[in-house]
Amino acid sequence: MKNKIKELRLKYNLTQEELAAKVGVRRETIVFLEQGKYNPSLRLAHDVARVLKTKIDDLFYFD
Amino acid sequence: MTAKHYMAFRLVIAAVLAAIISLSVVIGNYVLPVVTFFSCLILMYAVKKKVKEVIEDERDYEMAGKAARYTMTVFSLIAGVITIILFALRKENPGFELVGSVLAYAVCGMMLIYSVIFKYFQSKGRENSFWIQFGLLIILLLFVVFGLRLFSGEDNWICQDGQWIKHGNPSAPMPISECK
Repeated sequence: MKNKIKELRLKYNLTQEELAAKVGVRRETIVFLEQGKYNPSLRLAHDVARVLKTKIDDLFYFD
Repeated sequence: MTAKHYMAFRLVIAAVLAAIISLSVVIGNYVLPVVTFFSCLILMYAVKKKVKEVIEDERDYEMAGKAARYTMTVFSLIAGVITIILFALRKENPGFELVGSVLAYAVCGMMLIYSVIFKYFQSKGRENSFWIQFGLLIILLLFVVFGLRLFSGEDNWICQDGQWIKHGNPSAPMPISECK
């Protein structure tokens, strides 16, 4: 599963650290999320989508 | 307090705990390590509450779950093989049977606790969850009673007036060590 987290994070001028703090996870989790190496829970996906002002459907997609 | 400070603090606590337990074994005091252990637990919990950063998140919990499952499997397999070897060699040294039994019961206990906790989480949210959890509690209580009975020394050899005397019906042969 791929995602647009990095793209949107940069659009909103957020560092990985800041995004992590906003959604209540460690920075490493954001790193793994951006690399597509970790599938988040629905709650985390929802929180990330909310912070990046988008929908889960638009944030995560399959190839 | 930052996460880094917390990690450093945790290391110091672990070192202090290890030192106190070692010292207690040497001086033969078994109250001190228990008191220290619980004091350290309370201290760690209090300090953890002071950390503002996120120390662990859902990814860590997922990894912890996987690690626990693999640990269970690996430990059970290794302990099972060692138990069989110890039982096979019990004629060489009667002490092997006791060690094998303790190991076997420890593995069974660990697997039982794992299964009970697994079933508890599985039952959460179900309509009949109360009865499932009640049943699991009964199983745990039976396990504790069985453990107490097993390690109570009911069926054992007792040293009395320089002689080994049967107490109950011990499965192990008479100890070869001197009875003083």
